[in-house]
Amino acid sequence: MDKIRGWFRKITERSGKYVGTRSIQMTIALSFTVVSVCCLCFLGVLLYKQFSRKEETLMQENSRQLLEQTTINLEDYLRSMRRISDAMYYSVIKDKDLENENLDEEMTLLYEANKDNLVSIACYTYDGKLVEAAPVANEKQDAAVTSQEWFEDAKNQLENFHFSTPHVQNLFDDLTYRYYWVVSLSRTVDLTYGGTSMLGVLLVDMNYSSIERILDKANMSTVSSEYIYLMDTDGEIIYHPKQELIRMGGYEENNLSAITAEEESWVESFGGQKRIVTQRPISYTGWKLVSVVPLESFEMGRNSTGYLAMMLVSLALLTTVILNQFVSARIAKPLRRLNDSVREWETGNLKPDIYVGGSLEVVHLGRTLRSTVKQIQDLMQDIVVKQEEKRKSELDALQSQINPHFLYNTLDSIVWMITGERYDDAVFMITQLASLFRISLSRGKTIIRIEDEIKHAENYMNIQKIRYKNAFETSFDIDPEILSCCTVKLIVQPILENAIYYGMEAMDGDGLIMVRGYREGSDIFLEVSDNGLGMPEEAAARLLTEGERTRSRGSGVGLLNVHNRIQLRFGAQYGLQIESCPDEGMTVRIHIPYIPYTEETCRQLEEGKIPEQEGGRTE
Amino acid sequence: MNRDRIYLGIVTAMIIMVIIYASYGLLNGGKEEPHYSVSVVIGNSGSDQWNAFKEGLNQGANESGIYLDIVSSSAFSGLAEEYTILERELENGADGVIAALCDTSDPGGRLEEIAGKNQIVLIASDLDLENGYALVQPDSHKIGRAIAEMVLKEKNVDGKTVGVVSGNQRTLAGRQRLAGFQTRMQEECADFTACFLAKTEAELEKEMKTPPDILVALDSSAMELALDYLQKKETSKVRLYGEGRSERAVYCLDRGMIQGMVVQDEYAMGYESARLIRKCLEHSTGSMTQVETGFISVTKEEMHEKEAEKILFPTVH
Repeated sequence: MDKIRGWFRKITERSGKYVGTRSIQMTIALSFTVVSVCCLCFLGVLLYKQFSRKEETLMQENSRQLLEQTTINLEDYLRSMRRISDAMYYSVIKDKDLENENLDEEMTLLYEANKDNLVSIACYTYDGKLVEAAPVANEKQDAAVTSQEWFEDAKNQLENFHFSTPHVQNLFDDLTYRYYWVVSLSRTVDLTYGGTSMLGVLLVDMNYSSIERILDKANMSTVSSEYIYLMDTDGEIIYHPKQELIRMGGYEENNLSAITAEEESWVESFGGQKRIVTQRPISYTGWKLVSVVPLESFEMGRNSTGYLAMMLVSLALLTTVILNQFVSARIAKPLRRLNDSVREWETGNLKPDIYVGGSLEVVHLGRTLRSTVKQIQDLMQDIVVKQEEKRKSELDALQSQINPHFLYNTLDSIVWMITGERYDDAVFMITQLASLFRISLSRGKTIIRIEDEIKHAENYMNIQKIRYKNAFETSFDIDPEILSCCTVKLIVQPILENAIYYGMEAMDGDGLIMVRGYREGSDIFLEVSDNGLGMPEEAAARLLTEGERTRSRGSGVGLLNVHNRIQLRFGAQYGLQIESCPDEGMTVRIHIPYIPYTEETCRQLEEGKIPEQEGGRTE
Repeated sequence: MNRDRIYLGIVTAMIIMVIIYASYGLLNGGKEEPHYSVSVVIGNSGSDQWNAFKEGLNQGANESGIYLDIVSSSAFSGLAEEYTILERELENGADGVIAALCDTSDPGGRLEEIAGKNQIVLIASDLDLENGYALVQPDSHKIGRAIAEMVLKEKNVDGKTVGVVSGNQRTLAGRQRLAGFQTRMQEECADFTACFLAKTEAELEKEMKTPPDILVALDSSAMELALDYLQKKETSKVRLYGEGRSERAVYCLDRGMIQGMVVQDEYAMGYESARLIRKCLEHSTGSMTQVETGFISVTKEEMHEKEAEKILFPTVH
């Protein structure tokens, strides 16, 4: 039992290994086909066996019927011969005293009535003297009747009829040179001579051709190589369709084994072939009629049946394979399409068109998957929104950092102006401050026009210039083409603030801060250059990585903040570039994409998306 | 996927091949071997003398898948007539011919011409084998010796005169029979010489002025000649031996007019000729272009023995 289980497990594992690598359609088709092949082959073999058996049974039955019929015909014929003998003996010979009467009239009458089947009727005394014969013929002088087989048989067994084997009649002289093959029916009879009883032999010579005709007819009615032959008690062949061939040695018959067989029918191997032999005894004669059916005669029928079964099974198989393909395709197609949808999803399409169709299960699977994708999308959207909100709040926090220092210093300056009765300067400063805050607020927007940003920068510089008592000069050179483009708000002001704190504090009225804006392809550059103290390259590079140092002395909004804000909004390829050289000043270049300011682009940027640029560059 | 399709294609192709194979088997399963049509040209074809031959021929034809057409004919007036019939049969579509030549003394070039283009089996034709004909015949030398054996059983053969009706000595077979007979006789009787050698009825008449004690007929026509002569002379002193096959000869054997007779197995001759023509038609004869058939030596006392009866009385009346 364990062994069987082990085999089963091995088969399952191996087939699973093989099937596991196949497509679902192939797996279904293969499974169906294997089952179909097994079933059809089993049915085919069953069909073949059944047909073969039926055919064999039918042929055996036909053979048996033929044998029965031939036996009946032969027995009829032999019975009629016995009746002739009986009639001759009991109705004629027993009633006659041969000393005064003869048998001629009755014997001739009897012969004439049956001459189609008879060659002659003759009566002999026990010493071989002819009493009477019909038809009348010359008796051979040297016939030696008493030594002939039929005579001896009659003498040896008085009570019985004796049927001889076929032989050429050797009794009478026929001047036409004709000789007759006969089967002699002889018996011992009582002859009366002058009231004295004596023994004699009555001979009825049957025409062998009558027997041959009956058996030839039977053999001709067979369609296969089946045949019937007749033999006597000793196995000597009386009739055989190939009698002459047997004599020549061209054919052999297994008659000696048939004579000893007790069964009615048996299968034997003889002469290199298997054959079914059936025998029937012929009443009163000891003869046996034997039917031989070589099994090779079934071969053609078997072969045809085999071919037919093979063709039917193959056709059914072909149909099954095609049907299996069709059915498996029908089953597998929705699954394959669902799989394609999943693959599309896998390749990065976050909004795949999930297939929903096919059988109930696949529809359910598709719907579930579609729902799952939708949920994931929603979740991702939520994450994006939350991320955006977080970023926005960070930005807001960053932007809000500008207010306390700057507002405190500016208000302090305004207070100082008012105290010093410089009311015009105070008004100008308040106006500039108001404009600065208006742009800073921008109704909560993060993205504003460059024009507003520059305006904001100018406002800031105007305030600072008053605060620093015109210790430096400012100039703005902005390409008008870029004025109506998008920018993140409040990115120039912190750079200006840095330029003032790091570059201008040590200058004595000859400081210069230049603001330049221009476009290069799909990019916009805003440069803030000063002629201040500058700094080494390494220190300039650290400005974008170390925010703490700027915070310690600046307004609280460092270059790093600006750099981060630009990259957060437009991507990592944008941001600040710093060029500086000690005692020669510093240039801070703002790099942003060229995006014309429209409601749509503004909305997209506000949502964290980067709209398609005019130059065709997309992110 | 592609591999799956290849497997599917292979399976489908295999099934289609099985269907084609089964269809071929079904369509050709019942086909028998090709049948050949063969004409049989024998002189006096309705005569009973051919019955055993025809019976053997039919048996052989059945086994060999041959359609036989036994041409109805009376005795041929000569070889020319027989050749004309042969050619006509072949022109009419016979695949081959089995023929018994009425005269084999000089078959001529016409037979070679016919046999060169067609398949012909000649029976008991006593032709020279060097010509390469397909022949079915007994060994003539052995027949001569068998006749001599029967003669030698006579008492005091040495002191008796022996006349030989030699038949047609222009044929190889005729000469072989005579040679076989003489050789065997001389083996037992050193100074044996036939007292006369007749070939025709006229020669026989001439020689019979001094009748021999023993008369030997070396072929069936010679036997008929001898019987005619003996019946005409109404003599019963002459002991007759020889080869014969007619019903009359058998009757004469039964009546004691013939003391011993060699009888050819005509059934075997017919059977073997049908088998041989089939082989010839299939060009599978190889070197077996001659088939030797048997014969029996039978005396009056032996003629009703079972085996002898079957050859002597082949026809069931």
